[in-house]
Amino acid sequence: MTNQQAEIQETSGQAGRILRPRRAVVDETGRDGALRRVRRTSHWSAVAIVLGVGATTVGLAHELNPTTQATTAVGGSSSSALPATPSAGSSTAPKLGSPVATTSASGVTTVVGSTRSGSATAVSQSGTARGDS
Amino acid sequence: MTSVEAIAWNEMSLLEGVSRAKGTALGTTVAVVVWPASRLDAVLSAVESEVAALDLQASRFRPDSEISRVNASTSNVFLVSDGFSQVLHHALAAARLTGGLVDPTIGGRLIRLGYDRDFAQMERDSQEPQQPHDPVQPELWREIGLEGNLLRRPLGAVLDVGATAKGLGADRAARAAQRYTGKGGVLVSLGGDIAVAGVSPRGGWPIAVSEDPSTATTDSEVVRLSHGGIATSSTVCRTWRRGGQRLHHIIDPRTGMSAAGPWRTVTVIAGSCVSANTASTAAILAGFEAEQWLATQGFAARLVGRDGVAQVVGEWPSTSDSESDLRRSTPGTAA
Repeated sequence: MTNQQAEIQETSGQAGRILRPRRAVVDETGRDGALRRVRRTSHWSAVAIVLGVGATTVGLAHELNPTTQATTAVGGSSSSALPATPSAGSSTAPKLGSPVATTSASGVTTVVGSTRSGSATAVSQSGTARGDS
Repeated sequence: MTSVEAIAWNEMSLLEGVSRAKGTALGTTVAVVVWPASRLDAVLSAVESEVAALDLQASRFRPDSEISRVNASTSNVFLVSDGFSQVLHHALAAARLTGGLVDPTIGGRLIRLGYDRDFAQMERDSQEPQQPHDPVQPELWREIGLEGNLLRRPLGAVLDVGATAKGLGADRAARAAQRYTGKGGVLVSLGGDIAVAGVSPRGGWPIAVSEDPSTATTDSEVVRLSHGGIATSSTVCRTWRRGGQRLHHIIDPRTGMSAAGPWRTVTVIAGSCVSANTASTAAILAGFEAEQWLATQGFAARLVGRDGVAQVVGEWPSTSDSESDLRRSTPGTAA
């Protein structure tokens, strides 16, 4: 691995922070050193077991959540690419007659207006265009 | 993409028991529909948060985004956030699924073709001649390494996740908003890529399918969606001219130029919006092989050819309530 590859840049949080590997300089020779190594190994083994059990628990819970599965897969077989059998909605759900949204190529919006604050929304202008030349 | 602090909501309405809001973010239109109608405020806050996060992770057009930092850096290895790691995970999954047709390393070509800033700020008819072709680096995406939050980028790769990020953003926003709908449901559209979550209205969310957002009311077919997502890719929007040549934003990684296949618009329904987004873009690029590929993958799709003829593949919803004035042909046959 080259020096350049050994540098890791963090892209979130502190901008451009470079993480560099550190090297241990502690002398651990002799009987006391060996005991320290054994204690440290036991410590890290315990940590690994705790983390492993936790990760397994989270993983199983994640797999059991059908919503998560449906929205994280990209493509796949004929059984997974399409949505599950459509529900008709609950009896209390509204029934909509006219389209409430449009799927199309992305329009280009050129003017940004208001922001929302609490329950009040200030309205300003915007324009959507095809984005054609 | 425009910097997002909050979405600029400029239209709100209450109709047939649902609340609707429309605004602007990411350089395009954001629409949210929710029932019960009373949940709108909480849902909008959740959507704003997700869209802002996506912008900070994946916008090529703001210098402080994670993807911009990666592209501008001379380093090869990066520690990225959980959210950006997820964005990259989906982009790489899309590349694998499509055999590299949807390529997250296409950013360099987009920039050389002139798509180097927010589309609204682009010069749409540049007389500047096209820059000489740089050699296409086939399957450079295969050299990207992603393990957890550790990203390894191959030398020369300029990342662009435009083919998957909006779909993923719609999925994330719908899922986040669903937490505030109680026993209701929500629809989120990011620039026409739509995800739904929760319980749908009876019969599903009615969604118009259109090539062009500016003519949606006149050329639309209507489908109803209860789960997952729907997305449209098209060569008729986001076009510009450079050196006299018409270009658009769907780049064929095999040629490094705007795709020039038989389909001008493809709409796909899938188990998630990011899947639909991936498949619709891949179908534009796959050319005459698109129908077979879509059918093999199990997608339901509607393809519009250069001549305006539309045809469908797979379990595309019934057209009994279609308002389309496009001629239709038998599903599965070529135009």
